[in-house]
Amino acid sequence: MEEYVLSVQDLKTKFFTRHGVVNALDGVNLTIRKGEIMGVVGETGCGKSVLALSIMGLVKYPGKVVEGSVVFRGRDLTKLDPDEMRKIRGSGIAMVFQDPLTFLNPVFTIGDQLSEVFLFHAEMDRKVVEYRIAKAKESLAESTNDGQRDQLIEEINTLERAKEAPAKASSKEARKAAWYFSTEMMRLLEISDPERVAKFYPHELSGGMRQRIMIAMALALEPDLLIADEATTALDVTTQAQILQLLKELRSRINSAILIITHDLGIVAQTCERVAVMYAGKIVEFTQTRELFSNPKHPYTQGLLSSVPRMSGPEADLEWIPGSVPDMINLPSGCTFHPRCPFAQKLCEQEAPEMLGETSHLVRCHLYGKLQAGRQAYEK
Amino acid sequence: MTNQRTVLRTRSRTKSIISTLRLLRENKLVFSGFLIVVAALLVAVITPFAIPYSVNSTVHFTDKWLPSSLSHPLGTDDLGRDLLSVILWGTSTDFTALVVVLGIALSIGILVGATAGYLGGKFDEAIMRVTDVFLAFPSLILAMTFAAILGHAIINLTIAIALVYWPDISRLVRGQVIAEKSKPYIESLRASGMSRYRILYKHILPNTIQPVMIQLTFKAPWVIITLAGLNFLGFGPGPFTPDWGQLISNGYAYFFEAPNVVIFSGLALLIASLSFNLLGDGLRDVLDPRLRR
Repeated sequence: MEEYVLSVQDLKTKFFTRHGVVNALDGVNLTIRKGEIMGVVGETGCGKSVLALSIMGLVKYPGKVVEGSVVFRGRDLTKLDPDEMRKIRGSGIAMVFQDPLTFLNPVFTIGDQLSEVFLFHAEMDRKVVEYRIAKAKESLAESTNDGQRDQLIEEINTLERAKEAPAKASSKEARKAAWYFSTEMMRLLEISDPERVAKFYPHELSGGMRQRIMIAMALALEPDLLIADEATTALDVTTQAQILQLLKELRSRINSAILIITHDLGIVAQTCERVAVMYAGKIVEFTQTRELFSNPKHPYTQGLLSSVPRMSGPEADLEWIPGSVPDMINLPSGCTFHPRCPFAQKLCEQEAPEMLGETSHLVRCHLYGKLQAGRQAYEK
Repeated sequence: MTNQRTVLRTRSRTKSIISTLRLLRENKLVFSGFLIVVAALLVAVITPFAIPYSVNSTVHFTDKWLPSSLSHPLGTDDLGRDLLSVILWGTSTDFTALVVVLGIALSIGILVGATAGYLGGKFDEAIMRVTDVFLAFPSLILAMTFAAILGHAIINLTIAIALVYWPDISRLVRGQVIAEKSKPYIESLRASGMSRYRILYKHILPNTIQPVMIQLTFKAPWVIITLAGLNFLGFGPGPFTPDWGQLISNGYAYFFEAPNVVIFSGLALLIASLSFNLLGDGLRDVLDPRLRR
C-alpha cells in the first residue's frame, strides 16, 4: 500500500455566475504520494488554479466545491469547519503563488512577514528553546576557553532536557527566535546575507529573491504538501531553473510533497515524477513524466508536446492545436476535446469517455476504449 | 551577534525617522508647516505651567482694551487680561480639544469603518446608512445641535465635533479596506492559514493608515475652526476657558477701538490651520513606504 499525502476523489467545483454555471472542475481524481513532485499541466483556463484553490478550501464566491472529497491526513478537507481548515493551511498544505510582488504585503519588511508565519503557527515556546540551543552551539564553536566550553555544554544539555516541556516564553524572546528561524529559512533558500535582506521591503528585492521568500514562507512550517501555482512563470529562465533545483533539493530535506501547477511542459520534464494533463476541468491523462513524454496517448497531450518549439533538426513551422479552450459554460457534448481533435469520430460527440488503461497510465479517450480497433488499424 | 542585530534594527528605525524628516525638509513650505505645528503643540503643553499673566480668574476692568505696550505686548482683552497670555492659553484649549476630537473620531471611525468594509454585506449596509444620516446635515449645524444638547463645557464641544467627524473617517477607512482586501497578498495570507481578524488588524489596517493620516492633517484645521465657530456662536464654556473663537466673538464689536484682539486671535487661527494643511501636503508624499530610502 502506497502512502498518499493527498487524495482527491471526484472533485467538482462550480462557479454560479450570472451567465450560467461554469464547471471549472468536473470530477477530478488525483493522488499525491509522500515526498513526490507531481505536475499538473494544461492550457490557460482549464481549471488548474481552481484545483489548487479547491484543495486549499479557498474557492471564492460565486464558486463552490459541490461534490467529491479531498482527503488529507485521513480527513476530508471539504467537510472541515473554517477554523480547522485554517490550521491545516500553512502548516499542513502551503501554497506559493505566481506573482511574488503582489502576494507580499508591501508595508512590512521581509523579516517581519517571515517571522509572523512562525509566531502565528509554530509552538514558539519550544522554538525559543531550540533557538537558545542553536545560539549556545554557535558560541561553543567559537569559544576557546575550556571553562567556558564546559559551561556551554552544560547549558546545552539542560536546554535539551527542557525541550520536551518548554517554559512559557516571553513575546520578546519569541520574536527574537522567530527572526532567527526566518533568517535560517532564508539561508536554506540560498539567500546570501539573510540578516540584511530580512530588513528589506518586498519592492526592494528582485523577482527571484521575492519568490524565494515566498517559498521560504510556505516551507517555514514544514508542510506535508506544497502547492506551487505557476510559481516560476514570472521569472526568467535561469532564475526559474535555480528555483526549481532548490525545490527539488528542499523536497528531500523537508520531506514535503510538491504539486507543481504550470502550463510549461519544460518545467514538468525537469522536475516532476508524475504528471496529470488537464483539459476543460477534467484530467485527461495521468502517468509518469517519462512515460508521458515518450508515449503520449491522449490526442491533446500529443498536440501539446508537438507544439513545444524544438531547437534541433530542420527549421519547421511551429505546430499548434487548432481552436482554443472551450467555453466553460457551454461545454461541447461528449468528449470536451472533440471539436479540436484530429481523430474525432461520431462516438466522441455523443459519449464522454471514462478514464481508461492501467493505473500507471490512465487516459480519457475513446481511442483506447471503444474505438481501439480503429486506432490499431490506423497505426498499422 | 544577537545584540548586534537588535542594535542594527533599532538603528534602522531611528534612521527611517530621520529620513522622513529629511524628506519633509525638502519642501520649505511643508517643513515650516511641520515646525509651526510642533511649536504650537509645545506651546499647548507648556502654557498651563508657564504663562506670563493669569487668565482664569483675575479680571481688571480698569485695564480693558489696552493697546500694545511693553508689559502687555499685544494689549489686553475685554476683561483686562493680557492678550498674549489669553491667546497662548487658547492654543492650549484648542489643541487639547483637537487631540481629543481626533482620538475619539479615529477610534470610532476606524473600528466601525474597518469592520464594515471587511465583513461587507448587511452589516456594512446598515453602518453606511447611519453615516449617510450624519453626512446629510451640514457639519456645523449638526455640531451646534449636539453642543446644545450636551451643554457648554469644553469637553462637550469636543464630543459634539467628534460625533460629526467620525462618519468621514469610517467612510474613508471602509473604502481603503475594501480596496485592500481584494489584493493578492491577502489571498496568500489566507492560504498560509492566517485568521480573518489577524489579517484585518495586522495586514489590512497598516496599509490603510496612510490616507487616514493625511485626511487627519487636512481635517485638523476644520476641527479647530469648527471649535472656534461654536465658541464664537456662544456654545462655549465662557471667558474663563479662553479660546480663539470666543476671543474673536468678544472683540469684533470693538474692532475699531481695539483691533488687536480680533487681529491676533484671527491670525493664530489662520496660522494653525494653514500649517496643518501644509503638513498634510508633505505627509502625502513622505508617508509612502515605497518612496523611502
